[in-house]
Amino acid sequence: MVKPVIVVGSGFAGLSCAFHLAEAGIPVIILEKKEKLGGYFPQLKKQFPTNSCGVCFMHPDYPAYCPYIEAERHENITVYTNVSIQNIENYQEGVNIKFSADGILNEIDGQALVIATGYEPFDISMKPDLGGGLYENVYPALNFEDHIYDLIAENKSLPQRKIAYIQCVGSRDLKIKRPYCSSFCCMYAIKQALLIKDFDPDVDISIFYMDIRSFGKDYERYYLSAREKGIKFIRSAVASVKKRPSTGKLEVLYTKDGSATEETFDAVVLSQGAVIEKSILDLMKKLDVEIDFYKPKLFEDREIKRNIFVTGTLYDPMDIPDSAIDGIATASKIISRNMITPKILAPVKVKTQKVAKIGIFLLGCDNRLDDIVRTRFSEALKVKDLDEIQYAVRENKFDGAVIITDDIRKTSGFLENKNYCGLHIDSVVLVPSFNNALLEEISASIQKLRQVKRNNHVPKALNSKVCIIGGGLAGLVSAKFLGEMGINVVIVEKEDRLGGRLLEIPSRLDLVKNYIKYVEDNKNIEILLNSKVKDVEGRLGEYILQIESKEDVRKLKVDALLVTTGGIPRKNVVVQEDGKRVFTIFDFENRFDEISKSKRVVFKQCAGSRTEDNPVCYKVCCKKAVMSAIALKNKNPEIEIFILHKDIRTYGFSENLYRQARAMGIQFIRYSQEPEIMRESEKLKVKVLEDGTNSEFIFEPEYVLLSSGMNPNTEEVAEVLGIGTTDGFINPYNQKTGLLDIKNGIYSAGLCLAPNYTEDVIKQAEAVAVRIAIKLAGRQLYVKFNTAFVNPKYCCGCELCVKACPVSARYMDYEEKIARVDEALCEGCGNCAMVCANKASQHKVFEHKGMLKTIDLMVG
Amino acid sequence: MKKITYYPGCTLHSTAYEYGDSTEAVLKYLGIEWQEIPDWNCCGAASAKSLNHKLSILLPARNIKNASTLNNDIYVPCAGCYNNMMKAKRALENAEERQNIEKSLGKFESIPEVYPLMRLFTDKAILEKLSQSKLKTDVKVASYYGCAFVRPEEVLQNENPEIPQSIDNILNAVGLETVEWPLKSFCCGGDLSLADSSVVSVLVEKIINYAKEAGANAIVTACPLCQANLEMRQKEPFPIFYFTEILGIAMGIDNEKWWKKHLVDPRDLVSKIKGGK
Amino acid sequence: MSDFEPKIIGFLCNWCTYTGADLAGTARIQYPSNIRVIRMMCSGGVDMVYVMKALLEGADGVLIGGCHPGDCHYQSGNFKARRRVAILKKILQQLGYNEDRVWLRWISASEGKKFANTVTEMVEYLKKLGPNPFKYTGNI
Repeated sequence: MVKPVIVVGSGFAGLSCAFHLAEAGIPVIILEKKEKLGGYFPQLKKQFPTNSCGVCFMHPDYPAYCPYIEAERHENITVYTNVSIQNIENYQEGVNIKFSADGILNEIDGQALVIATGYEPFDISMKPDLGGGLYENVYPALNFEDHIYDLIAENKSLPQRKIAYIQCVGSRDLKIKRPYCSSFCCMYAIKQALLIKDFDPDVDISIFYMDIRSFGKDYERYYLSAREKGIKFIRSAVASVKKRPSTGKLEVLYTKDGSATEETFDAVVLSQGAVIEKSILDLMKKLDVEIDFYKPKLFEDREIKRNIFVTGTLYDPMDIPDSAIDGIATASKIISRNMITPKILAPVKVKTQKVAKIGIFLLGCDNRLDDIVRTRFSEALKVKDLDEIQYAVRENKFDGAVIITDDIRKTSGFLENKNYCGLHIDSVVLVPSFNNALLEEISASIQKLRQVKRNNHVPKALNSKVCIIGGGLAGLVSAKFLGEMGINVVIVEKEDRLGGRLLEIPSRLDLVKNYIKYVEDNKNIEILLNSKVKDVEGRLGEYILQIESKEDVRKLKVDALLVTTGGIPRKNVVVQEDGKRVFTIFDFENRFDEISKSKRVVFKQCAGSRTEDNPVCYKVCCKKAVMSAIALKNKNPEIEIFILHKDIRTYGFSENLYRQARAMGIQFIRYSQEPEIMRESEKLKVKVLEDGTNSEFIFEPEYVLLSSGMNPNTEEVAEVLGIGTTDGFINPYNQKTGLLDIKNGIYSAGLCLAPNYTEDVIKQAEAVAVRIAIKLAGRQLYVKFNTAFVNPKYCCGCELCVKACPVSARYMDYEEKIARVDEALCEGCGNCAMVCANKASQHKVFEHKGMLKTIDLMVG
Repeated sequence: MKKITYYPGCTLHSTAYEYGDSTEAVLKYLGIEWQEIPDWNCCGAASAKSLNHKLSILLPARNIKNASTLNNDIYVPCAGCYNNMMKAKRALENAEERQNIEKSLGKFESIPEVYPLMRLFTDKAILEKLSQSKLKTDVKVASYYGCAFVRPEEVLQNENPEIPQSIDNILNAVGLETVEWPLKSFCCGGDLSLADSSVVSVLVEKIINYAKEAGANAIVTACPLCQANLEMRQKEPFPIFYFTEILGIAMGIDNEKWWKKHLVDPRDLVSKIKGGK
Repeated sequence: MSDFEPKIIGFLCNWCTYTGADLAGTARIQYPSNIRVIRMMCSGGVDMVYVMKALLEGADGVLIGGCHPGDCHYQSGNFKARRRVAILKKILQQLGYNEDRVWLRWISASEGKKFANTVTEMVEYLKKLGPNPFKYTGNI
């Protein structure tokens, strides 16, 4: 018996972790403090940077319902709500937790505890100087977002015509003892502004900020699009917001061009930061875990005590995509202590193609409904649970069933897990009990069942082999996980050694070497050096790769592909690089001793980035520059350091490093015009125009370090695999939460996907490995839902359905000149059935004739 | 009978005579016995604060030491004096700094509490007495606290700087309506009145405009410098009162002497307040 | 025609609108019984022939419900539905038929109330519009 994992908190990170554990066969118990699951993400109907939702793609097995619905469906997940935790004790093999749920005391013994309690939005009444809690037209951002959605739904215009957003309310604020950065407020303020501009373009929006932290994948483009749409970005902290008695409007006092300015607004929105709730701080205290908001990292390690993990915004403030990956990475740490036991469905084999005997079941409905149904269908049976259905099916030799139930989604989830109660997957129809036309619906369902032609599905067998393209850190971490799970891995690396870029960084050498050693020792992992993937054919479960090396060309059959081709440091983006005194920050560590002996050093941030031609933020440079500067100052306190920047993006708790650097006397100079780096005889000269004061500074440093980021190494592999890129970075299936999935069967992680820290690359690699392992560990892809089929008689080979399929489950059989369905990949959307002109392609359950008859019945 | 220690500071017997006299009249009416700090000296708010840090702490510390012989809490009407005295009190709460102070002034046997004058009127019995002298008038006023009574928050721990209520509560207790307005603790310019009076003019204009827009007929304050600035640098006549003067009107013990000390003649408004129009 | 009760056929996508309608049911949010719901997997899988069939059989209105743009569980199904409905409306116009009998709405799984409101709105609108003329022009 596998001991369960207890997940405290059902926000995005908690649910991500829970789903992946559950799909891996580990029972999960979710404890949620509130009455409903989901935390704050259900309120956020539109998310950046897509301005749409997409949280369902986080599920390891999509298409899926909204995560808080899916949590109730899964066989391996048990949910408790209205929970209050009494006591937590951890010991060698596990964790013991005592809690009350809905007033009833419970005790659970588990193998691990995951604390994913997230955040509470900052209470703006703690900032009365900005009008928080004083005036009704000063809004907390979360409430204002609801307001925006309401207006969009009712197609009204915003009553307030001029609004201001004030950033960093509740974050980066020493006075209220919240020194850290909440990471996502810049982005959600931009999102709200863009949403407003979309439906009401004449609203005047200003965003008051200190730094704009749009550091995620494609976030910089999103920020630029906001500037282009006319949203004003004003760099100034706000001194006060006061309501003018005569007009009722708000006067915002701030600094403009060095002097105090007051501007009138109809409404002010305060971008609330993330706050850890008091009960969680108490919990940490009880667990003897120190919480200090002034440290550069709140928790040193995700595993804060033995068998107790922290994930999501509690670990470090993060946005939705990061929370998903964080949750999945945490799941991977726990899964690697177990083996994956995925569910395996054995589809029932039938002799007759069509349904003969149909049973009608009332599953847990109330008696009143029974009477109504039995008036027309006297043979309907009342049952308590699926076991009773299974019994009835066997007793009466039913080979089809119409099940009337209160909760379709839950029942369908349980049915899946119960192997459809011994019935064929195409012979069960669920009917919701809250239905105006219940009796007609039942008749229609019976009709549909009678029409359906059942085939015996053969699950697609998998060899459980994955090809990892690129043997850098991401590839190695994923290979390690997959190898441990018994999945065969082939690493294709174009260089003559594993390790990638990190081998050039001294402080990371040990980390990489450990992974290389593991990978070399593991029998499940095959390493092909000096090799490249030159051609790819096929789909999930049957990829055929052509791999070329100097010596030979070989064909390889794999089930899935993982692209981890990594990045290359961007050199020579700024012309004056000479490698001796002007060079990129990538070489900082190797030349630390030499640099620390100098008198003056200049760091130039955003070198060749965040420009019109290259609207990309390389994410890691700000923190790296700050840490490097601190290291230099520690070694040589006399050294003068100047960091020239556009914004400083030390998000999360690394904001404390920024403050520390300033306190140490490291100078930060903001520029909007490109600084000039010149060489005058032997001397280096740097000229920069400071943004706020318009003063010109001229330095003569010994060294100029350029923060230019890492370019993704994707040109070749993108062409071979036929995947799209933006700014060179691979385009994922869904930009929000399907970040690691590219296409059906192709995954990606690491620097080829987006700029990232080493810790985040490891996180992504662990997460993507889990997702791949869950798909492959069952050694089969079973048929899901009710799939499409092709009647070869009518198919004319026009290929419309192949193009229409969103999941590439259709392919042409060029010999027979007809289209075919890959049943294991088909998700049953029906798009192919729609486009087929002569209905050769149809959906099993929504068969054409059946549908027409159903509509007849419904119209009456 | 409540007994308090009273620190008038330099101005309450001279330039802010109306504040001092009205305070004493009100205390007498309420039956509160007071004693001035024996041999008190200037608190240093104007004379020492920006010139000599040590002196700016020792001056008020000496007052506290002298007051300790009386064994009662110290109540301070003037904002500047209160602010400075609190700095000294906080210094005395720190062991190292207390040692330094005692080197110059000798050992402190006890350290009395230091409160702004307004705090006296949070006493239930006193509020009861106040509510017996109710004004019946349509006149509305704006309470103005200025900076020194409320900031810095960590040092004074008096009331929320953004939403102070003490003066409002006192005036409401005698039936005078106070308006809601956003500049209750907005700086009047303070000592800049002497160094750069144009700044003060700009700030004062804003304060009085907002008070007018909020529907107030006058501003009621508790700080002598604020009162002086608001009177001196305004453009059109707008009465500025001390809260104790209002209490005096309500109690029927107001004195012609007070109104004569105002730069802006408030007598029309005073009769309105009295006459209920 | 004061007691005319319009009949609406709803083709609702399984993941979003159908779930939303169900949510309305379980939360006891009342919506008019005029609508007959047919569950489809995706709004992009709703054949325009079905919409026509419903109208020709005499349904007074047809509601197609799908996920919000950008949220389609199959990535692009709802975009295709949008395009097809636009073309269908043009064709209905050409046939001299009121194209506003066909409504395309984006309703997500959590918007039970929005579903109820949409159906109520549609019923009111169709009541004013009157019954489907095809109902009386014989069988097809």
